[in-house]
Amino acid sequence: MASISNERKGRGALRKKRRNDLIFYAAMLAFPLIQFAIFYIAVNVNSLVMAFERYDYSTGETSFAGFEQFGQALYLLFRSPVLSAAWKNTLLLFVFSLIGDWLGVLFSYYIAKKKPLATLLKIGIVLPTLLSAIAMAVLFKYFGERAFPVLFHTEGLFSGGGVLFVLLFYHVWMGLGTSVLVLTGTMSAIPETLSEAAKLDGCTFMKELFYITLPMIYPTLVTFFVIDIAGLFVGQMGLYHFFADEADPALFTYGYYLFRGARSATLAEYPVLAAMGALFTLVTAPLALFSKKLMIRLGPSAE
Amino acid sequence: MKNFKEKVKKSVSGLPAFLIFLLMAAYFLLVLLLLIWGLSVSLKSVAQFRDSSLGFPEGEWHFENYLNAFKTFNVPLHGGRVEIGLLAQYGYSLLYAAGGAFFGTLMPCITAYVTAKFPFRFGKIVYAIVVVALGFPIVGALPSQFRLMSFLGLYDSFFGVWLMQASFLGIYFLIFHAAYAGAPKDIAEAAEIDGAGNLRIFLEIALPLSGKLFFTVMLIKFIGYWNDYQTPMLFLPSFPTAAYGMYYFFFDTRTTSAWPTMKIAGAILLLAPVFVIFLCFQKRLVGNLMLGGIKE
Repeated sequence: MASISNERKGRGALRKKRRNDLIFYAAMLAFPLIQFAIFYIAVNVNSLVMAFERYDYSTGETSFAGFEQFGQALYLLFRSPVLSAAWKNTLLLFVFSLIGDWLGVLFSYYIAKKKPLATLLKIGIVLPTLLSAIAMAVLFKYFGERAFPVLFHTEGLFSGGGVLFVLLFYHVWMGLGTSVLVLTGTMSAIPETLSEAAKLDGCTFMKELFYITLPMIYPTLVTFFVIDIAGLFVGQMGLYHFFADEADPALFTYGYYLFRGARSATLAEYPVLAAMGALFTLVTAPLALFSKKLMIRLGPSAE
Repeated sequence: MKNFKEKVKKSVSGLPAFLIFLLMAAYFLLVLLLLIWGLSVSLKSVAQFRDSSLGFPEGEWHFENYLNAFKTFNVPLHGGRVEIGLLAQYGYSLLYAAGGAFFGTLMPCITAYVTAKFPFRFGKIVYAIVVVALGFPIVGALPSQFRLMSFLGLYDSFFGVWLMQASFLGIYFLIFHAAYAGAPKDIAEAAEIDGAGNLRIFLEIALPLSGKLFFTVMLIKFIGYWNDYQTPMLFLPSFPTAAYGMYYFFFDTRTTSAWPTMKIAGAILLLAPVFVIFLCFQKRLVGNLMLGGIKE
């Protein structure tokens, strides 16, 4: 009898604990989820709705426009001379982001292996990421225009025909810090015993990278790759830092065009930008999800 | 002969490491060169800079460039009727960055804690939302964001921008989640036996245990927001931050502030606070962050 009563008490206590846990759980998640519902779901649903709207200046009202804005967006994407170079520049930016990721892997590996001057070099690589992009752009632009020609007896970095590659170099150069921070952290978590066993088996520095480190940090690499794809049509290549609204259309990326448009567009121009964004989402979202699945399926096992 | 072979083998296996070292050193030196060059130019007069764009100034060093930059880097508002000075810009930067960093760190921390610690199925959905949102790009939502912020009366207010930044989405959720999922449970369990409630366990055990991580993430976010000029430019037009001020002056063509030496002095003024933070918290800032863990 006593044991049944104890069991009931125990079950009651468990139920009470579960109820308390649930209340705490719901209370803690309430604000983050409301914030998510407003600033992610509502913003994006509204963006999609906007893509089907037309704004009338005389009445100040919006009306349903069907696929009119999509037609306009497609015209801009494929026919407009302003965006004729944007697809090439956007792809180049993506390729250079991947190159940046690989440099990040190599640098992080060097740091994680505690090779000579690793800590000092890590500081040097992380520092530019922490410094103001606009202040660094001021320094880099004046250096490229005024000091570089004197040093190398050539034209300024921003006056010749190689501006695109200067911007791509700058993008990789300034953007390595975050990936190095995360990758060194992940690499440092690999058990030391694995590395020691590999060394005993005669594994060289690079073999250890390819056969032990990379398979072990593969989930992080997949995340990086997916983030690169997700940022495909968002990346501005630093154009806004260097040129504000006045960049040469030959240097445009889609990300720059969208940002510049959102900053200076009128209410009537918003829907076409929203339609263009929706079209980009239609391309990148499945691409990102598919690439992730494919990379996970084809990825190495850690065995 | 055997000794020689071993030496060759060792040097070859060291060659890739040496090449990586060279690349990293070149990277570091370029950053250093740019910063030192900037410092040297900021101390020159316009004539000295015109005569030579390299090296520190010959003759007088013009420290007054900093004072002049401080005095003249005013951002005009409302058609020039009001001017916001650099000191006020620093104040706006501090408000924007501190608030954004705090709420932007607290939300992923709280969300990661509850989803990692409680075995409710909804936690998996939240985790999936974060992972999907990371890899599911939604492009071109800025116009919609404008409209929504205006509709909610949050446009051009710090509170609105802080709310916008108080999102749990992003890689920091994954970093906090990895930390909480891997943290030992025994202290929290002992506290629970002693009668501590969930909130007390979170505030007095979990939060202090992850305090270093929280501080690091907040510091990184603070620096990111301090340097961000695009969000204030779009959503806080009446509160120009120092980073926005720098952007404004970079493209300004008015006489004094258009001088390269002044602009570069202004850039150094913007970099200085981050430098100080970096020197104070260097170990924490370049410490290790983990994302998503390693393969088992």
